[in-house]
Amino acid sequence: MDELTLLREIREDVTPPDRSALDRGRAALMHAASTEDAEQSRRVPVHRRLRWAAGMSLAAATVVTALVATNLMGLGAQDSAVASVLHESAEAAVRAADPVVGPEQYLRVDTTAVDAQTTSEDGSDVSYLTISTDSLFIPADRADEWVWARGASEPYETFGPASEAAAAEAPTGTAELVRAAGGAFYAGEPRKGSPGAGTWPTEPHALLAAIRDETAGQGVSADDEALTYIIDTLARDQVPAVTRSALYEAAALIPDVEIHDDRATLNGRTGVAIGRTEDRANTRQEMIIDPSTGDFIGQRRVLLRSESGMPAGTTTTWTSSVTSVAESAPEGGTANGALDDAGCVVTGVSEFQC
Amino acid sequence: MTNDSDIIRRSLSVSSAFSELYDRHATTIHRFVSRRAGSDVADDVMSETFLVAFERRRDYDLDRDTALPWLYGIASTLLRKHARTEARAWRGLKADHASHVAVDAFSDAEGRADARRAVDQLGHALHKMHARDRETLLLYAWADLDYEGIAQALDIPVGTVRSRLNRARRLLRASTQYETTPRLEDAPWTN
Repeated sequence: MDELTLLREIREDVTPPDRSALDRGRAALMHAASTEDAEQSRRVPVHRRLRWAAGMSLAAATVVTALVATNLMGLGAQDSAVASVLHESAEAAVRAADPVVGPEQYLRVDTTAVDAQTTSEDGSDVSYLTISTDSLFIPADRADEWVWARGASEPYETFGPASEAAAAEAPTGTAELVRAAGGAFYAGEPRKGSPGAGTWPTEPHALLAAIRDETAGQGVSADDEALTYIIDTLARDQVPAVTRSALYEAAALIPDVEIHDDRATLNGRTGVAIGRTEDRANTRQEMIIDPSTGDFIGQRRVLLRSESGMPAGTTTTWTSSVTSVAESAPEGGTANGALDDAGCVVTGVSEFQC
Repeated sequence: MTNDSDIIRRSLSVSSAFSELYDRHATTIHRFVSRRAGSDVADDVMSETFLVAFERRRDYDLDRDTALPWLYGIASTLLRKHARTEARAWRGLKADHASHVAVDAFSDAEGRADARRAVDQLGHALHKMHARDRETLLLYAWADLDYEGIAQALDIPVGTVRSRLNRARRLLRASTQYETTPRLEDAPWTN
């Protein structure tokens, strides 16, 4: 064996980089790319001829500092099954056609929602769940009148006699029909969808970095808050297929995101429940998606330990929506629904005197 | 198949396209650095290599289809910052690597002892070697670059590559003496 063969022999036994190191490196690169894009859009490009060794150290240090500052380090420590399901869903979503809403037509979003109601009796909390359904009609021109048919909420689940009593005593919910230009119901601001959604990067690492920037300092943990933001955006805003796809890919990069149930049923539809357990929030939050179509079926939050009179394992809240195109919207309704019926007067943005 | 220069060309207008180059070569660069300076350093140098490459992509010669020599060159330059860690790695070669070599090339117990000594001497030789010669040697032996590739990586003439490699191999050979010195029964291992 000559000296070169021996030298070649000893190179073989190194371990490849682990996934998190690869993800961090990629995130740093994508951050540099998005930073360059942002800078180029702000200024006329100047051809730089730096001595590269000096320029490099500064550039690398800047990016690393930025990543630490935005809490980006430590990306993507989840198992490959989650990444695979989310990636499959993302691919299906990006192939899916967005509903086309023609003139005079509406995008109709039918939502079923369950929420926990908690009251305090004799110093201890008593809770029960209510369910409600609503249909939101969004016009082709989003500045036109939106119509929101809101069903009355009803008791859905109780937890023992005190809970049953509280549910029975609760005031009966009222159905409402609300109508307002730009979706500015109840004297609120017009609905614009997610801030920044139009300018978000589609590359998953860069998108997650943008979401982390947006949610910095909020919630019980950066990872939980980033996932909450993604799920809320998917659940609340009618995001285009391409954004939905990018959000799935971004969710796959959040540490500790796992598959909780590969046949989860929500409101009669079955999908894969993917989410994250956050001990400090005492919840496991999940999104239920259909990997074959990329559809976002809904979301739910499950208690880890008993809380406010509800046992561990209770799904304290879930929402599920179906989107379609409607030829017409219900007639009637006013901008403030039941508040108008009660003779309330608008005193400010989302403020009333009754 | 898309070659590296296509990716770099595309990244000049769509900067995020550069991530494809990362996906292709990050692991390869990591392994090279990891062999030289350990996996902790490798994580950082791998990342920095691509940041530097991204910053400098406008200077890349688009006639070169594969970007690996260029990336190895950047990684090699970055590794100079980690000379101390690398030197420790050479000194630790015996413990870390001898068992592997023994399995592959030296079957009997006596052979394994020889392997440990040979690897030890190799580490010593690499440690003593001039940094520029060592850098050239390792691009040749571990990154599998040819003379032309090394010349591109280090931005030096091919003639310089040749002379550095000759010097490095001479020193290695003198240290290990494996090829030229027949081993005598019970003779002490010598330099």
